[in-house]
Amino acid sequence: MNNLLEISHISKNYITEKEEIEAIKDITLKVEKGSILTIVGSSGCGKSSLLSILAGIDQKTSGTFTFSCSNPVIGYMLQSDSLFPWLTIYENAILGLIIQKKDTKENKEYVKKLLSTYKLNDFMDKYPNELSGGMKQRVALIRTLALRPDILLLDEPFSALDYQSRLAISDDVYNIIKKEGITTLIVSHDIAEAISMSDKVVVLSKRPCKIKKIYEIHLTDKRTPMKNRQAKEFNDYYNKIWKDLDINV
Amino acid sequence: MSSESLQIIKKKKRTKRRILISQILIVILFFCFWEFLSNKKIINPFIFSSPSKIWNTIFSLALTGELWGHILTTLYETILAFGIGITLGFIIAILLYELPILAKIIDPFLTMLNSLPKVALGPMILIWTGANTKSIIVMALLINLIVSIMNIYNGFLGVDPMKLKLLQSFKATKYQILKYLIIPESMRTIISSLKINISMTLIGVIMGEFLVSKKGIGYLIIYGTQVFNLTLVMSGILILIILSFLIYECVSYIEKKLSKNR
Ligand SMILES: Nc1ncnc2c1ncn2[C@@H]1O[C@H](COP(=O)(O)OP(=O)(O)O)[C@@H](O)[C@H]1O
Ligand SMILES: [Mg+2]
Repeated sequence: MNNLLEISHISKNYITEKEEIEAIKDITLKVEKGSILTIVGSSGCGKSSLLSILAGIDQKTSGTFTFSCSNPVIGYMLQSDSLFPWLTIYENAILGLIIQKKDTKENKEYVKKLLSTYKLNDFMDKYPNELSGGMKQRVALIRTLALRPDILLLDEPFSALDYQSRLAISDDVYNIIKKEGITTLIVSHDIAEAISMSDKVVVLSKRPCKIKKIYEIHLTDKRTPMKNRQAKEFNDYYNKIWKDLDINV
Repeated sequence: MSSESLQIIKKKKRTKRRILISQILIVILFFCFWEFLSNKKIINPFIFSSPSKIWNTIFSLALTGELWGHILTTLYETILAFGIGITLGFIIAILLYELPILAKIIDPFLTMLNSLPKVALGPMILIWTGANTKSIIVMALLINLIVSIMNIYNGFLGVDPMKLKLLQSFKATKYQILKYLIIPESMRTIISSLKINISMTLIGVIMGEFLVSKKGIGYLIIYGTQVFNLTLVMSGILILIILSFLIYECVSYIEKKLSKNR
């Protein structure tokens, strides 16, 4: 197996003045190159913490994780779009490039190409407050893609959107990821979204989160996330995962 | 635009005009009434003066050129103290933000200093810095600096943690985080604190002038009191009201301009 990321025995405890919160407990996981893996777990179970650790923002308490490539570029997309309201869409999209001093002509062209591919070229000089939630989410994704990441970490990428936009944008994002061929690790609490988008779904228990189950998702006639919801195996997976999560309520 | 919306706009304009006319009327009536009471000796004209006397005083001060010197002095001191206060406040707020330990250590002292009526320090400042413009500036800084440090610092603390995380995920340096996020995001708070700041500064400057100066509107007022010329005192107050109103409007205008560009 060609694994891009191997996580082994990662734990995370938060120490506050009052108590010690055990957020993640002994997680071991492999992410295959080019695949989409979704981690589902109830909210507050430690999903964001895990992504923060992988993105290098937070420290783990114990365990290790390794990437198969050296110096991997990690694209981390946060729970909110976090666009800067005082910058234009284009300026937002190249923010990562500017911070990392990679704002070469070639890379900027790449961002412009991404913006026009994903139907945002008319909005390049607009400001974030003039865009819909789904469009903002796409800009946030392009800002992440601009760095040409080896792996994408998406933290509940659609949770801020209404149901209709969610369905549409998950198709968009899926197509973008697949087209650019990027290994992706998503965390979510939405079971349907997880099944419809991923090759593999990992179910976490309540806090401290441990791995409860791993499902390889095999849908007949696998297409886009929206159409995948119609696959005949979909409900079966849904019920199983729902039960896995429910037991711990 | 439909005729109905035009009607509504017209109505709104009319209301606005009515408010303005009422305001002007109130001022005129106030001065007329005052003049009348003073003229008929219903109130003691020596203590309460009268608009005509005040007007004559201001007019003759303006003719001799003395008036402009006083106004310019106060204006100069205010702008200087305002500029220094904002700049120092900004620098100190950045220091506190970058060194949270320092912020925690000096927090109670800042609060104490903030709640202290600064005028109590006046006589001491006078002795330390000498009776000159310096002590007026120091007095004004005492009043505006803490407020501006706290406003700017709180603006920094109010920055969205998600945006901070985003920049950290880009491996941004501390300087980059300041430049690309902290400063632009807190600009709005900083700009909106300018108005409070200018009022504070003016209070400080007038207080300073009361204590030491030989020029300025504060001096005019205190001098008038000393020679028991209440017409002069009220002239000074009237000029001060107009001046502070104009300064405030200027800062409001700047604030509007700045926040429009954001
Ligand atoms: N900086 C922190 N300090 C203390 N506790 C934290 C911190 N960040 C998260 N936690 C706690 O860790 C747990 C997991 O949080 P999080 O990873 O955000 O969960 P999720 O993303 O699954 O909703 C929560 O109970 C939260 O209260
Ligand atoms: Mg979360």
